[in-house]
Amino acid sequence: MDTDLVTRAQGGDEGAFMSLAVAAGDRLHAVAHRILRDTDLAEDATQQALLAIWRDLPQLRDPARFEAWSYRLLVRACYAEGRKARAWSPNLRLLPADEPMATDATHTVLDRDQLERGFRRLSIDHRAVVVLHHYQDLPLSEVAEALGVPEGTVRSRLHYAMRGLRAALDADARPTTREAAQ
Amino acid sequence: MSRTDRDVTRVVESWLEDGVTQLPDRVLDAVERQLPTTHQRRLSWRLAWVTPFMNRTLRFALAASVLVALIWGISVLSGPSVGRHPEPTPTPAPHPSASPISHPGATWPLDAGTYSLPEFPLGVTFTVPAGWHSCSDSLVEQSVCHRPADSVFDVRVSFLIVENVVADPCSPGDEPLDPPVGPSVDNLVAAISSLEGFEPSAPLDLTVNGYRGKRFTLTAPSDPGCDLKTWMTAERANSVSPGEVNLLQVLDIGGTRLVIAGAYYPEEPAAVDLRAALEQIMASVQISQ
Repeated sequence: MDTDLVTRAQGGDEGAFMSLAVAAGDRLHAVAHRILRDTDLAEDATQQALLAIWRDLPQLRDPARFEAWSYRLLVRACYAEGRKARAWSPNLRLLPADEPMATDATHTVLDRDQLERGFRRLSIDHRAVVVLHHYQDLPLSEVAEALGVPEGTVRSRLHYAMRGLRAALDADARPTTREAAQ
Repeated sequence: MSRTDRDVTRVVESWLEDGVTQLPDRVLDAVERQLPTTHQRRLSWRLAWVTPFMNRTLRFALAASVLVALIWGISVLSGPSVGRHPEPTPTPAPHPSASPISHPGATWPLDAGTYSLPEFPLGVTFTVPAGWHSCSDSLVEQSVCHRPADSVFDVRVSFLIVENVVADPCSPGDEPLDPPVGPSVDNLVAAISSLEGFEPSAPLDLTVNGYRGKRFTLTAPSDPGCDLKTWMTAERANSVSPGEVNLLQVLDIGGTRLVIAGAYYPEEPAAVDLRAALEQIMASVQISQ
C-alpha cells in the first residue's frame, strides 16, 4: 500500500483517498463477500467500510498499518450488515437422485453445500478469522492485529471454526440410511 | 470416510477461492459521491461524540446540564442566594490536563499520563503507567492495553456501554438474551453473574464521583469447549479467553450504564502485578456526564 496516498488522504485529499479505495476495494470486497456469503450485503459492507476508513483515517497513527486497520473497519461493517440478515434463506440445489454418491463431482457439490451451511452457522468473529487466515493468508499474529484481539483468542476462534466446518463436512461423509442398510 | 485436518483445510481453502473478487464500480461511485458530506474525524474534534452516537437519554442529560449551568450562571450574577439547600449530587471531576485518546480502531503506544476519551458517550479520565497502548474497538467499547513480556495476551481496561448479554456464552451465533437485560445496574450485574459456566464474586457497592454502582469479579471457565462470549454493546458481543478474569465495575451515570472491565489471565507469570496495575488504573477513573 502506498503510504504517501494514505498520508495525503489523512489530510483530506479526496483524490488520494479514491486512489486508495480503488487499490483496496477489490481486496476488501472479496473478504466481505466471503464473510457474509451474500453479494448485496458484501457490497453494502464494503461501501460502509470505505466511508468509515475515510472518516477515521486521520486517527490512524501509522500509515504503514493501513491494511490491517482497514480489515478491522471492514469486519465491523460486516457485523452491521450481518445483523440485517440474521435469518438465513435456504439455498436449494438440485442433486442427481439416481447417481452413485461416491463420484468426486457429487462429493464436491455436497462438500460445498455442507461448508456453506456450516459456515453460516459461525458468528462473524469466527468467519472473519477463517477468511483472513485461510483466504488472505494472514499469519495469526496479523489476524490478531487486524481484529484487535489477542493472538490466543484468534487461535481459539480458528480452532472452533475449523472444528465446526469439519463437523459439517463429516455430516456429509456419514453413510445415508440406504447405504447403512446395505 | 475420515478426513485429516489437512484435508479439511484444503477443502475450506478451495471453497473460499470461489466468489467475487472485484468491487463493482457503482460502489466506488457511491463512495465518491458521499465523501464531500462525510466529515473526517480529527483528534482536535473534541465534540465528535455529541452526535450521532448520543442516545436520547444522553441528549436529555446534556440539555439538562446546559439548563442547570444557565440557571447557576444567572443565580451567581444576581447575587448570593439564601436558605437554599440543594440535594447532594454526583461530583464529576474531569482531569484538567487529560490527553484525549481517539479513536476506535487505531492502536498506538501511550506515554505514562492521564487520558480522556473524547468520543466516548460519557466523560471518562484515567491514568496509565508507561508501557500501555490504545486498543479501542469502537466508540462504545474503548480500551487501553498492555502486553507483558513473553506473553501472547494483552491485559486491558475497557470502558463500555453495555446493552445486553448473550443468551448462551457458548453459542457461536451471538444471540442476545431475550427478553433483554433490564435497565438498572443490578439487572446487568445479575445477568452477567448468571452467565453459564462463569464464576462471579459477590457484588459490592461502589461509588465513583458520586455515581453509584457495583463491583465484582467474573472468572471464565478454564476449559469451556467453545469460544466464550459475555456482554454485548451496540457493536458486538465481547469475547473472553478460557480462564480470563474480569474485574468489573458497573455504574449508573445519569441513566446510562457504564461498565469498566479490567481483564487479565491468572496463569500469566506476572498475574499479581498485572492485576495490581489494572486496579490502579481503575482506581484512577474520574467520571462526568
